[in-house]
Order: sequence, then structure tokens, then C-alpha cells
Amino acid sequence: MERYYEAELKGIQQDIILMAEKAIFNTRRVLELFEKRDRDICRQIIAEDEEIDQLELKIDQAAVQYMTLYQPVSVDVRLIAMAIKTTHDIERIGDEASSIAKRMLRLFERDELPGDNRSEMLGIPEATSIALAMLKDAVDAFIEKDVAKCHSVVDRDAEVDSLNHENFEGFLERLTSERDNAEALMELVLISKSIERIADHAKNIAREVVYYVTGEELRHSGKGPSRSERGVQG
Amino acid sequence: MVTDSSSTQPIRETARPVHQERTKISTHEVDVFYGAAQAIRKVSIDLYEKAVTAFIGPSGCGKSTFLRCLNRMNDTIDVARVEGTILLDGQDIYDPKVDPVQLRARVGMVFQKPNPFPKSIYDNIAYGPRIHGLATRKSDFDDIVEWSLRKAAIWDEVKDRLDQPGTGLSGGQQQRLCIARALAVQPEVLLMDEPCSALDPIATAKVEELIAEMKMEYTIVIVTHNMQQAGRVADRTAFFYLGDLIEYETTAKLFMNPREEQTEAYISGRFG
Repeated sequence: MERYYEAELKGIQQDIILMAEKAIFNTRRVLELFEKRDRDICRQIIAEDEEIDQLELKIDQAAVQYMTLYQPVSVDVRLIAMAIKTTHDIERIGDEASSIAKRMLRLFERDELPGDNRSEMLGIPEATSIALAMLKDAVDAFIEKDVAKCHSVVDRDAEVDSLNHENFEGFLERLTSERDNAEALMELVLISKSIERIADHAKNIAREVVYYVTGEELRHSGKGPSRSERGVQG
Repeated sequence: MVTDSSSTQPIRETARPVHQERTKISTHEVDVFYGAAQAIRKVSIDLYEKAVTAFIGPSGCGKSTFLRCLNRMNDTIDVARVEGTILLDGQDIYDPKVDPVQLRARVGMVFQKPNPFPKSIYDNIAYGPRIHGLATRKSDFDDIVEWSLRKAAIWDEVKDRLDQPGTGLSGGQQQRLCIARALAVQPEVLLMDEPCSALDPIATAKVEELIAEMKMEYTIVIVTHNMQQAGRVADRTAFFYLGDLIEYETTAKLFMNPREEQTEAYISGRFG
């Protein structure tokens, strides 16, 4: 039986998907940016982030209102709990994408990006591709209530962590021989770190989806170890 | 974070932890019939001492019928027949040697609609101890009346008008008077059949607060249609449907992540 207030809950679900799709779009544009090195893409990513922020406010407000008015239980209250936490993760993904766009703009404006070759960015584009796929899968898993897909997202986070670690080592090594490029190399280290954070947020979303679908809590459970638990640095 | 008793999976527990695990009442395959119609089917459940258990379910699911089995109130209905076993502290309450009147002193009851006797506030409380022979001297009755009214958190409101009719009190006060009346015979278990359904939110809050205090000393079983009330007051919740016990869990587990689809549908309002 559909409840007369079902539309409110569906509205929250749809807004989460809309917000996540914007974050996916921006992450995909980051990848495009590494390829095309286009200032306009930077500006578009930065502008789009504002829409993501506004959606976070809208969803949080709707979630609190739904709790107040309808006192949800079971899968409904788990959806509301997930909504509040997941919007924060999606909002952070938007922020990371925006931060990458700003760093890239600075590099372009100073003409400091070392070389025109993708290899100059080491494993950043590859890590971005994985993070993007993780994010898309986490959102698909939410739509399809697919727990297996969530676990696959959680598992892939290690690949991005590893690439970020390699990037950090690689840029550090170059720093010794390319002193003039120090600022640019530092920007690239931080860009790599932002990609790693995007993957972390995708992993968080996947964990929240598992909680929403099954009630099972993956955080601090030994399932899907965190970076610090694996002792990964950088 | 606590771990649900029936699983090793951690849950987001929001209710108070379940401290007491000693079984006070244990039922085994209880059936109840009204004539040919079966109202309760093979209900087996353990109710724990000094804890609050809520019975929930749609109207006609049998939760009140089952509650009334626990102090043999169904004996008063000619066509009612109870089968199976109900143990109170290990003793079969349907054993022919058990006196139902004495049983109901141990297992008291508070009803949906406050039903004070048409007597003074004092006599409403003194009536039970008098017929059960718990006191003989006036001073002893005075002590029991004050103790009971204090326990039910209504003493301060009525201490200066104990000779006035109990029926003159407000609905919320009448219900607390009835709770005091039940406590006056020193029960071990208190059965509450929708005790707040006729009360406003303030009176409801007072009764709920009282339930939270009383569970330190009494085993409480409450029938309620109010999901939020079950969530607030009960350590464990049992969901009944069409005479069957569908699910019995810690309250937080049942409301956060029920095992059965029927429970999920009922508590989330998707029933029907």
C-alpha cells in the first residue's frame, strides 16, 4: 500500500540521485580537464559546485522535516539517516572537484603544468577514472539496492589509495631534480590527494547504501578496511 | 553500540539497554478461543522481569486478548477458552489450585479508560488492600494510600482532597489513580491495556515517565497502538497479527530493522 506521504520520501531519494549525478558529472569533467587542459572546464566545475551545495541544504532540510512530521521507522529511518550522511559525502566530492579545478586554473595561469603529456601527471588520471567508476557504482547501487555492488566499491578504494601513494612518491622524487617546478608539483600532490578523497567519499556512500538496504553497519566493522587501518601514508 | 541479543550484527541502538534477563512470565503454545473462533495461535514468549514489553499490532490482532491471559482476565468471559501453558515464576497460572483473585493481586491491570470506583480517592486505594487483608489498622491503610499515590506520582496533586471522589479528577489523574490502586496490593507484574489512549499529551508523558520509574521494581507489559510510545517506553516489543506472534525483538531492533516483512509493513504504515 502506498502511503499518502510517500511522495515526500521519494522526493528525497530523487534529490539524492540528482545531487550525486551532479557530483559524477563534475568528477567526469575533472578527468576531461586532465585530458584537454581547458580553462572553461575549470570554471564550469567551480560554478556547478554551488548547485551541489544548494541540493545538500535542500535534502538535509527535507530529511529533518520528514523525521519531525512522520517519525519514520525501519528502512524509512535508515534512508533518512543515509540521506543526511550521504549528502555530506557528495557535497565534499563537489568541493574536491572544485578544489582540483582551482588548482588546475592556477597551474594554467602560471603556465606551470610540467609538460603537455598525461604521463607528467603520473597516476592521477588513472586514479580519477577508478574514483569516477566507484562513484557511479555507489549511486547505481543506491538506485538498485545492490549490496554486492557496494562491496565492490569499498574494495576498489585500495587501488586509488595505492595510486595516490605512488603519485606522492613520484612527485617527491621529481621535486629533488625539478626545484623550479616545486609549486606545480605540490599542486599535483594535492590534486592526487583530492582524487583519493573522492574515492573515500564514494566508499562512504557505498557503506551508507549497505546500511540503508540491510541495516548492516560497515564502518569500524573490519569490512572494507580504512586507509589508516591498512597503514597507507600520503 | 550494543549487540542485538539474537544476532552478532551490531545495530544502531537508540533505546536504553536491556538490563534484566530473568524471565518473569513464560508462555508456551498458548491458544485462545472465543467459542469456535480462534483469537490467539500457539504464542510462545518469555517476558522479562523488571523490564517493559510492548505488544503492538492492528486492531483485532489478539494483543489485548493475549494480555488478558496473563492474569486470567479471560476467565470472566464465558465463551473464552485458553489452552497451552503460562508460567509466572515457573508456576502454571492456570493450575486449578491457583486462585485467580490472588493471581490478579500479583499481576495487576490498568485499562484503556480510567475506571476509578465511585468512591473517595482514599477508598479507591484502600479497597484492594482491604479485601486482600493486607492491613487492618487505620494507620496502616493511611501508609499504603500515601505510598501508592506517591509511587504513582499523584500524591502531591491529591493529598489535600483524599476524601473527594476519584471520579472528580482529570483523565490523566484518574489513570494515575488507577495505577496507584493497582500498586496498592503490591503486584509483581503490571499489565497496561492502552493506558494512554484516552489521555492528552501531557498526561501521556506523565504516565510514560511513571512507567519508566516503575520498571525498576515491576515487570510491565503494555498494549499500545502508538508506535512512538512503544519506542519510548519499551525495552522489547512483540508484534501480533491475526492471532499470531510475528516478531519479538528489542524495541530498537524491531523499529530500526525488523526481520519480518509484515512487521516492516505495519510499523511503517504500509499495511493493507
